Amino acid sequence: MGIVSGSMNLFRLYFNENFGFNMLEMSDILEKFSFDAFYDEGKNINYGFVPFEYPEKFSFTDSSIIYGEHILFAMRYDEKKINSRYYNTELSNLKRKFLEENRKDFLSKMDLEFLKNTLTNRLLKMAVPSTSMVEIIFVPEKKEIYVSMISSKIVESLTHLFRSAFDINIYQENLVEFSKRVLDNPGKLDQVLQLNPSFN
Amino acid sequence: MAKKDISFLENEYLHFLMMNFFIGENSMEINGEIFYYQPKNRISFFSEVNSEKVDIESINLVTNKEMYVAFKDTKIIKQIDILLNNKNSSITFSIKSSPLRITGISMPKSIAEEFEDKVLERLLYFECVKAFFRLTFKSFLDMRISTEWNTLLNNFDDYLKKY
Repeated sequence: MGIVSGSMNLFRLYFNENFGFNMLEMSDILEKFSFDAFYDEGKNINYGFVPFEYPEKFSFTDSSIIYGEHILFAMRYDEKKINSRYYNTELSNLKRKFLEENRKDFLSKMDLEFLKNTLTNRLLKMAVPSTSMVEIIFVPEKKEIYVSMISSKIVESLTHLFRSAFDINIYQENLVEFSKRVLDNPGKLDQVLQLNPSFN
Repeated sequence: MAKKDISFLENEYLHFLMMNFFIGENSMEINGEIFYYQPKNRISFFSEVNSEKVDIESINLVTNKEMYVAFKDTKIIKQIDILLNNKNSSITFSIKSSPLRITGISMPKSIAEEFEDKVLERLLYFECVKAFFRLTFKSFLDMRISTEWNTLLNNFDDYLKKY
C-alpha cells in the first residue's frame, strides 16, 4: 500500500464493537500478537503483526505507530507452497519405491495416505515461504480498518488476529453497507435497494 | 441487511463520474478546500452483450473519439483512472468495479524532512481520497433515486451526439 512510499490501496474493513483499549497499550498488544511471537517453523502458514517500517524495525517498542487518530502497523503473512507438478513426480517415485521395498502389487488406501503425508511434510520442511506484507491503517474512533491487500486467506488471518488482540470482529464492507454508510438515511437506502439497472 | 444484488450500481457510479465530468459538476469541498477531478489517461469498458472489453489509453481522453463511441454503444465502465486536483496538489488513483474499490493511490512527493511528518502528509492525502469516494458515491446515490438521474442520462446522450 505504501504508507511510507509508493502507491496505496484502499480496502475497507469495519467492526461494530466498542474499542476499549488505551492507545498506550497498543505497542504491548501488537507485540503480543506479533509475527515473531506466533512463528512456528513446522507450520506452512505463519502470520502476525509487524511494525509498518518492517523489516527496518522488528519490534513495536521502537516503532511509531500512532499518527493522530490512525494506528499504523502491518501483518506479515508467510505461506509455504509446494509445486504440484514436482509433488506428483515425487509421489510417483515414492509409490514405486514403496511397492518394491514392501514387495506389494498395489497400494492400500492407508499406504497412499501415509506416503502423501510423508511427502507433504518432507517438501514443506524444504519449501521457502512466500511472504506478503499487508499494511494496516486502523482507525478505532471510526470503527474502520484499511488494508493494502485483500483475499479470503488474508481476511481470515486478520479476523483471527483482531479478534484475539482487540476482541473485535472485522468484516469486509459490501456495496449495500457502503451505501448505508454514505447515505445515513434508511428511507433513501430502501429506495436504492428498489433500483433496477439503467443500462442493459 | 437486504441481500438484493445492486452490483450494477458500481458501473453506473463510474458512468456518473464521467457524465458529471463532461456536463455536470466535477468539483467538491474536502476539508475546507476545493478539489476537482478529471479522468486521466485510461478508461476500461465492457460490453455485456458480446463480452467485448475495450481499454482506452490516451494522454488526452477528452478528445479521444474511441471513448465516445464506447459510450454510444452503451458499454459499461469497469475502471477509470482519476486525477484529483486542488491548487496545491494532485493525487492520482484508479477506481475499479467488481468489487468497487480504489487502488494505486499515487501522491505528490513529500517535502517534509522528518519521517513522522512524511507519514502524516501521506495520511492527509489518503483521507482526501476517502472523502472523494464517500462524497461522490453519496452524490451518485442521491441523484440515482431522484428524477435528476434520467435528466443527466438524457443530457449526456445529447452531449454524445456532438461526437
